[in-house]
Amino acid sequence: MKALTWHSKFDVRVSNVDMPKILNPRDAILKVTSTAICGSDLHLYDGYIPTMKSGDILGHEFMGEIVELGAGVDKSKLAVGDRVVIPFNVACGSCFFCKKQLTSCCDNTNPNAAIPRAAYGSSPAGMFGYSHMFGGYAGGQAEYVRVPLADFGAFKVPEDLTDDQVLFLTDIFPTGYMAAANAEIEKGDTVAVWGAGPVGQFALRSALLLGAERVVSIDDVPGRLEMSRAAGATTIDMSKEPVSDKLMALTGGRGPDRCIDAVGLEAHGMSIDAAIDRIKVATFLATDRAHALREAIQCCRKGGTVSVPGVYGGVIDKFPFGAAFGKGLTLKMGQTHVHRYLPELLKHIQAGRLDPTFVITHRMPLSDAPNAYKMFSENKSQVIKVVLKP
Amino acid sequence: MVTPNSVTRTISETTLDQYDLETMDSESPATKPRDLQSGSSTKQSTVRNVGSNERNISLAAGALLLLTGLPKLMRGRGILQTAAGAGLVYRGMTGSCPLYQHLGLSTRDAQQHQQSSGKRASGSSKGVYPDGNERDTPSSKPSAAPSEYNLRGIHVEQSVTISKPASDCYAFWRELGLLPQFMHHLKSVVETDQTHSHWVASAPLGFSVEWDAEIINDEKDRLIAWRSVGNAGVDNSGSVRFIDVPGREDSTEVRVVLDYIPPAGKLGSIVASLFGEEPNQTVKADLKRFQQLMETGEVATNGDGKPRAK
Repeated sequence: MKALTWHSKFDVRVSNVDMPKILNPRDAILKVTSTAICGSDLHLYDGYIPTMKSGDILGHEFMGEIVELGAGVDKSKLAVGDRVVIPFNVACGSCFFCKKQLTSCCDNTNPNAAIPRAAYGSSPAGMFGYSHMFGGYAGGQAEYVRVPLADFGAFKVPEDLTDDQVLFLTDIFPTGYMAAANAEIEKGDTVAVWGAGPVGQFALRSALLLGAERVVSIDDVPGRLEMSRAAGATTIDMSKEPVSDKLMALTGGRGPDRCIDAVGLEAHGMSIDAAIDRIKVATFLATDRAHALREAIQCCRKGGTVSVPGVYGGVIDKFPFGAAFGKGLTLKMGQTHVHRYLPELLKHIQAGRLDPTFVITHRMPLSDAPNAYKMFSENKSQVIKVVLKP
Repeated sequence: MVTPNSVTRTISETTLDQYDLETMDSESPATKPRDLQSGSSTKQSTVRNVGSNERNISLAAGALLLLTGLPKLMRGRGILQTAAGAGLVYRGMTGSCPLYQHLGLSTRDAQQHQQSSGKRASGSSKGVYPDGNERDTPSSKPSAAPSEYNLRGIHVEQSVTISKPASDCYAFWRELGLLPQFMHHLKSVVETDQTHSHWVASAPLGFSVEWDAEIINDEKDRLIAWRSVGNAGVDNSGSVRFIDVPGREDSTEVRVVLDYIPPAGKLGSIVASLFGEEPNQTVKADLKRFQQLMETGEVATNGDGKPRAK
């Protein structure tokens, strides 16, 4: 079958690979009907993520039709022929964390748990197509994919919704939504969102759904800021004006009540701290560039909340913990607990309260995926979300 | 009273001097080792410990050496070569390697174990497989004294918390034959009676390490403790406890304590490779797999990262 494989920095190819097989009793094989490229796939493309091996299949946002079931799959939950979306993290549903609906913390789905345990103290759940440190599972930018523990993971979607409408339930919609939920939004709040990529777009729309009075979208890419304005956000182009001053002006000198860092570890920026980050990362003195996070902490009003959907991987330098402490901030963060939000988000889509198709800018065949990666990497203004058809 | 000196002397007496490679005759007095615990002597047996593939290779290599060595012998050279060739042929034909026996190694495949019936040493290492076949054992030496664990042992302690009742965890663990499902260095565990079992661990290059064990403490839903007995490939003893977690219903802490004595020499490095660089990591990984089995019914796998581009 055809699949999009990673070989090294800036080198992804469409390759001919073996079909996936049922390996464990609760596995299913999914025929992929739609799959997307995520901003965090660009971290893989840009060579930021360790433990990648040449030949790995990428892709953690995918959906399709179940074509084969392992002997141990709970047949009351899943059947051959079911049309499903698959959360990007693999979770079991039975461990301490899954029972608390913290499915991105699942205890049982990383076969390579020893690696993150060494760095973090414990391992999070495994993920599709996102390095060996996070499970080494083959991803879904392919014609077929193996889905472990399918009777817990696979989420059935109704026939009257198109692939475009439900595909983003796999990752970016719940990620933006959880970011907004974590921001503890109250009536009257101004929510500032750093990053106007797909996660930022879903975060600001979710913030409005969850009762924010106003959202402010911060980025330097014109095409993205335009998409934010289409949702009713006020925008700040950080290449043209100082973010902190503008936010203070917008909030009557108090600062935004809630701040969302939807930029993560590859933050760009023109300030001195951003420049130092770049040097440190290039010389291996730091792993993550945290300009957006630092700015969010500086700008957030006293007693406010900083919500971090990420992604962060390693360590950051010069973290303004004094500011966070002195202002009594709440920091909430984490990899998305997709399973927790799916039923609620499906209802929002069905009720027309949020139509995820707004974020799609490109539709391409899987065979063109390497071009799509290149385009996405080089032109973030025009290319916001690429949907691939195998 | 056991003093360090007396222990050292006893180790050398029993482990080194008891084996006289020249006279492998089981009736020879020189080859009767002393049993530390009972003071009685035990018979040595020749044992089939060479895998079938290896036997063929041994035979072929030995024949070649002999064929090319014998003509040389006529001219007064090639003694070593001929001797080596003869040794390899013996090994290939009988499936028995004195050197392996001395080191407690075996490359026999599992099927051979099932079909064989060999001499049995008396002493604590006897047993019959559930299918009725006898299996032969390595020759006896006494199992390690407690002080040896102090002197040379490796100590491992790990625990994991599992969202299942202690009774479920105990019941799965107590069926020792299931242990290889999550302890990946184990090839097989066969229970021979209520308290005795035979263990085979696999190491690289087809070597396996074997030992007999007995359960010395068995408290339902709470504790299983064991120790190896007789001539173990690696002396070991340990326990697993199943502890109710205070304040959390249906959660069990599974706590493993394991002590083992890495043997000297080649066998030592093979045993070391079983446990990897970090025995604590290996046991931790085993416990993680046990948790996966208990909570999800299967061990997580990524199929070696496949499918993938070559």
